[in-house]
Amino acid sequence: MRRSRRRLFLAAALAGTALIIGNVAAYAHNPQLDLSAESSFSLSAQTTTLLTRVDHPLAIIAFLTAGGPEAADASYLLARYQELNHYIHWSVVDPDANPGEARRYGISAYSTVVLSYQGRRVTSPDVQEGDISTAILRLLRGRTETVCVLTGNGEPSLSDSGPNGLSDLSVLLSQNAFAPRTIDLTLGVAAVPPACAAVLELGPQQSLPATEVAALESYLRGGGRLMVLTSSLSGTDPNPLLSPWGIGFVGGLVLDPARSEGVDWSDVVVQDLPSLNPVDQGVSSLQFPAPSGLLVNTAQGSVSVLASTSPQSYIDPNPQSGSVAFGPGDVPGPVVVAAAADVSRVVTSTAGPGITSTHVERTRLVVVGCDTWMTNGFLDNLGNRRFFANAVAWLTDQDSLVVATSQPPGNRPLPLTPALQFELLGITVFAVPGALISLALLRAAVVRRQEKEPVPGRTRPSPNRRRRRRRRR
Amino acid sequence: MARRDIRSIWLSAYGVGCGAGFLALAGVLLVLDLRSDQARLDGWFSPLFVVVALLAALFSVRSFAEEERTGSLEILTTMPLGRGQLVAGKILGTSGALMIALAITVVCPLMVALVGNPDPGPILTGYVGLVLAGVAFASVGVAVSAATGSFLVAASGSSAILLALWFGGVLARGLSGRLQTVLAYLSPYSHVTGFLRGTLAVADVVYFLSLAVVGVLATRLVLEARR
Amino acid sequence: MSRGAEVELTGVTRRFGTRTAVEDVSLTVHPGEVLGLLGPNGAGKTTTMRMLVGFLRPDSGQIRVGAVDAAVDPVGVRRQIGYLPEVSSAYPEMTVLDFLGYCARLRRLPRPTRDVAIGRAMADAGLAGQGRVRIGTLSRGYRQRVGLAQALVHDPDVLVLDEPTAGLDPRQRVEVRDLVARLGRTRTVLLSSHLLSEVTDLCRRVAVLDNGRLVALEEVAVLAARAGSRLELRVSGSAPRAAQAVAGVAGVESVEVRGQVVVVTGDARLAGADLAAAVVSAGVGLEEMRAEGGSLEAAYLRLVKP
Repeated sequence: MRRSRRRLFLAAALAGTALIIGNVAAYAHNPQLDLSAESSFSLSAQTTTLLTRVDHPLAIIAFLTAGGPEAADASYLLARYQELNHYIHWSVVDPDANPGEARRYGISAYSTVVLSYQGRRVTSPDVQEGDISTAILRLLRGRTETVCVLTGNGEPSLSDSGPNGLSDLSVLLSQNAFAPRTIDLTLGVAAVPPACAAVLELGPQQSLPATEVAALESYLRGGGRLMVLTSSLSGTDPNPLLSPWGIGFVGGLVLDPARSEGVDWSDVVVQDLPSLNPVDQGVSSLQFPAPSGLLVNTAQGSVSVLASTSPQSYIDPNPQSGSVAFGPGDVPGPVVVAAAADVSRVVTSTAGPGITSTHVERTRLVVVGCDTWMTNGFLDNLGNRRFFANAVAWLTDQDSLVVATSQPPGNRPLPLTPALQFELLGITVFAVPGALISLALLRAAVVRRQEKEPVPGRTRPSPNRRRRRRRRR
Repeated sequence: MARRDIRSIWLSAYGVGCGAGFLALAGVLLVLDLRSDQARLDGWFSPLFVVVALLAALFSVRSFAEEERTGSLEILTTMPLGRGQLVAGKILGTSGALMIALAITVVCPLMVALVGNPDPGPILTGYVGLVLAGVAFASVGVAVSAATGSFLVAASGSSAILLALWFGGVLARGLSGRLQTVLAYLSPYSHVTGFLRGTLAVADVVYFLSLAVVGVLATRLVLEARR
Repeated sequence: MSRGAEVELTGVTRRFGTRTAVEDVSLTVHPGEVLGLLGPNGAGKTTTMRMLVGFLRPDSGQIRVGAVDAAVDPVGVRRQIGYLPEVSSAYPEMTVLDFLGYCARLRRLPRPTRDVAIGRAMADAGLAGQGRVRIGTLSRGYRQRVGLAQALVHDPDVLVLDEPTAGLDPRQRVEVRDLVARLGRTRTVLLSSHLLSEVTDLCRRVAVLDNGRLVALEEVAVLAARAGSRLELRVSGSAPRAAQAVAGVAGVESVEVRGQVVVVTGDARLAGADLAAAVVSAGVGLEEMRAEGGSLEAAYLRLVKP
């Protein structure tokens, strides 16, 4: 008898141990299936990778009006971050209910998120994956890279929030721990400041002065990182800058009858992104309005095609002619519209008499034959945002920047009018439970009727008891 | 056995009373949730988990405590059933009765779907969560019920244990370190978030299944100790 | 033909905390035998029966039903037993048929034979025509019959009946007694009762428990005979002198004076004529002599300490 009891306790102990192991394993690796319409809680692979690097307590405080759907969504998203990394702790604080706390963190706007990690603190403007992950990236990096944006040649402005401006791009850079800094090499001593981790030439509208070209050539030769976005409409010739690195600018206007937005064949949708280069990572299509063609010297192993148009596309070298159909003189596609060069070389320098040192210089160049795809009007179309972020990250040797894959839950309005409230209360609070009780009463009545038929053995209430019951009723 | 227990609960005035109260409360919670003017039900599911815990406590007293009080337990335990079968039957009975109550609450999301456009994903996961939690809570309730012959002690005991587990998770949010992690993990409160937002996370499913198994083991041990 | 299984309890002990409810009880019930289990309240009868049916687990000792050891295969033991508990409470909200059907399903009776088995059990327990009645509306006696029917539904080899006639009216009692007698011819029956007359009628052997210990396991006749006799003599004159006179008579074990009555107990040799002669020769008048001898009750009272 005792032995079987011992066996039971042993089995219970074993089962308990198995449960603990199972739960610890599930806690450590917690995959999930996201059934929400917008996949709001399926964080990107970048975020997941990023979170593996968090190895100290990271506190996230979201300042939101408590109780509303926004606070619920914020808590759901932040809970997902915590599930992926248990160093993360989060809370949602209502700034109206806790004004002292809000003041302490200098919160002036709702939806602000404060993140603290190893004594550093950053804020994020919203409780969205892109914002939160970027803020975490900034915390992990611990420093801000300067990205220099060239001006002076009619480039769109970083502060312009119109459709042709670059304000969204500026925010994208800031949120990814880059400090965008404008530099003008058309003035004074033309030289790229050493603080620039990369230089971006974002759609010049006129030819670059020779001094600027020389400065940029010199910068590239010294291991510089340059992004050039240009088109034939701008009237610039970037070839002197690009050709030493195996990339040529053909110009013209690329038309793609097979893949374009609407009926405008020049508003090209690029779907061939053949490169293994990280710039193409996670990007499946791009929208390039009015692109120009590039030529790459594939014999040079350091050059790769980032994006090319469909085989049906072609370059119209003379778009002003008015004819959009493929005609004589047009160059048949597919057309390369984005390319990258990555050239490394060993440099030996003499540091003093008899002392030489060697180091590797690595030049990186990203060229896109389109200068409007990254403007406010197009940045959020297809994979444009991700492509730009990837390109800056690659140029600066950074990890891929975070471009959120999750979308916040959609707005599903349902105004609760008094009539609707009345209807809902009537059905759910009264009709449904009432129906249940009625069914039970009906059944009881049927059973009681059946029981009225005389059967030996059944107790019959005495007349007194019957009277008492009636009185109670 | 499970079928008999389900019938016994739902054909009794006690069961119908508890069920009707639960459904009415679910209706009130629905209207409160919809005050956000959004066709979403996560704010309805969230408190419903607590209400389901209470209903599980009320239903589970019928499993052992009530049978012990009336004396029918002696007949039942001398039937040629393994103790494991007995426990499984009782837990299935209480869970089954709970599932009927949950099935009737489908009226609420249906109403919302008629007048609005809710996301079906979180509704589906919400119900998956409620079913898992219901089985786990029923299992804990049955264990408490097996430990006592008193209806009141069983009902209040299992309610107290389930609410303590739930609010332990709420309180754990204010703590830090390993204690916070362990307390938060042990609480069902921490494991409903995924179901509310529309995700099915392995840890949440494993947690509720584990809680159900703990209930089975506890019931088995309690029955053994009381033999 | 007897088809019961032998029931054997060997050195069975059960404690509840510090209290020993049953201590080192060993007994065997043979197939085709009705064994009566006697004892005062709290003697351990119900505990013994509950251990036999698997409701309680013995702290030590062995229980065997047929070839099955309860420690090895408790379900196998329960399969062979039909048990009527002392407080037989079925589910009040169920009808008799539903309840017996439920028990038949739990007993794994094959579906085709289920209805026949239920009908037979109802007939045996005197419940014919009561199938659709809710148990909650039945009288106590009928509820006891429902309990009996559930113990019989699977046609068990062994019946364990804890106070089967408790709460029944005299007529029902006779009916149940007849039923048990009939069942006992082919099955092994262990029966507990406070009614010694019932045990005398039904059982060839009895086991007497007192304070958890088995104090007797004998045939009823042997036990009664061994109990000896008890005589009450109403005397006129000096009762103490009469008491003194009878004390020397052969077979007398004790003498007690209660007013004008002298109560004499003694063994099997005690003879009324010897006592009468002794009283008369002592010069005391003998008005009346009443004898109570060789009864199970006498044996029981001697065995069970107040």
